[in-house]
Amino acid sequence: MHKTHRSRKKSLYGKDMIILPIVFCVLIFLICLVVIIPSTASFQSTASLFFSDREKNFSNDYVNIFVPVEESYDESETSAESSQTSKAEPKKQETVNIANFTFPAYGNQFGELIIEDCQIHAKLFFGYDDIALRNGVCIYSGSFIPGYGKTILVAGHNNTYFNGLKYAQKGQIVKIRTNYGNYKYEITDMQIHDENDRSAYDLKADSENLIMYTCYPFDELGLTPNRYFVYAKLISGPVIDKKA
Amino acid sequence: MKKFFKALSVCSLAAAMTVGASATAFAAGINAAEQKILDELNTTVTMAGTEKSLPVVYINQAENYLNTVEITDAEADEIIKRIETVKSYLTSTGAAKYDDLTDAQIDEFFALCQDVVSVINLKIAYNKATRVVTIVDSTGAVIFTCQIGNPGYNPGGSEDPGKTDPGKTDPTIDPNPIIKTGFDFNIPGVTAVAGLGILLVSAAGVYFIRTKKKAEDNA
Repeated sequence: MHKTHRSRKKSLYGKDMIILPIVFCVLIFLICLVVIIPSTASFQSTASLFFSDREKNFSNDYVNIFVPVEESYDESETSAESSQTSKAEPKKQETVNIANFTFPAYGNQFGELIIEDCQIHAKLFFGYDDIALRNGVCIYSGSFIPGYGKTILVAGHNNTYFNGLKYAQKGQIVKIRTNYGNYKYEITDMQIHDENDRSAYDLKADSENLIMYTCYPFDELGLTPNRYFVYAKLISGPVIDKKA
Repeated sequence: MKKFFKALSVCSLAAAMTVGASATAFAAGINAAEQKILDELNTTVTMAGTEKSLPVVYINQAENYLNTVEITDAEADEIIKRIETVKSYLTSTGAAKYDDLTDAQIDEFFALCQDVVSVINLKIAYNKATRVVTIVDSTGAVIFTCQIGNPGYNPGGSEDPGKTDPGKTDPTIDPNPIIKTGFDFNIPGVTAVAGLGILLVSAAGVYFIRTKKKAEDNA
């Protein structure tokens, strides 16, 4: 009887008190990692304020210079009347002088990016930035803004604003509305590249091309080495006159 | 070499930004003076006997910045003159890459860069430990930041500083502008929160077992 009691006591303080809690903890950790953490972003952000060893900007303050200009691309590009007009008389290339609008500074929201077929409707920022990525998608400051006639490289998170890129198909229309004009691009290709694959983009290009990318695979937790690139060509929108 | 040019790029960009920041806040387009700066940025520097040019992404960034400011001829000339000084110094060191520079040379290098940007009240900050270079304007707003050796650096963001270093594989190519765009969370923070959760659960488990044991003992 006494021996049985000691055995039970040993079990409680040995197997039960050590192994079971460890197993329990591991299980809880996995559950937290897979199930709870993805749905507790705000809690994580708060926690990382205290525990992170890196400076992180949790502010949501940003400068918004986006004042939509009158929609013009839809009417000019899609209406039958416009089409007939263009047959009779070549349409003059619309331009916008760079002195007539506020050129976006780093971190400014200056437009929005819309791909209706992909259910994407995001604020468009200039420059990679925590705040920008948290609130929308952003143009790399080493590329250029729409209408500039060069490469536009746009990044967004794969679990938020650019999650819809997984529905991208050739021929779909990308609309970019800015504080100086409205643009339409047509998706021409989708490709998967390694994050260090420089063949995925050309920042020296002298023709306007839109490149949107996000981490791949979609919906995967954590950071991935691959990127999903969506390429689009300019259909319409004012050309920026760069003369000061 | 890549890191070296990264630093040089920063300085050149700083020079451009310096000139720009001294001007009025509202300005647009690239005027002749600004174009001279861009042309200067497109020139090469001799490093250990080899002609090297700046990565295009930094020249693009300079162009974008110059589109937001207005620069005079005099300012541009001064900036170009000081950039040439920086380039001459780099050549004189005989270094082929950033890591070849001594601490004293790095200090001198950034001092010269500061000379460039001080023309228009910009400031360069360089953290030797993290290799992060930051340029701020007179209001304290960050207008440029990068991490030497980590071109894809995204300050405080979902980057993985130190891991992304395309320069290790090819020092002659441009910095990698592709950032981490996966699920945005801070790994140390998540780990800490998860650890805290485990601690609480463990405490609850111990409490439960002890309670059960007491109940058994009482029975």
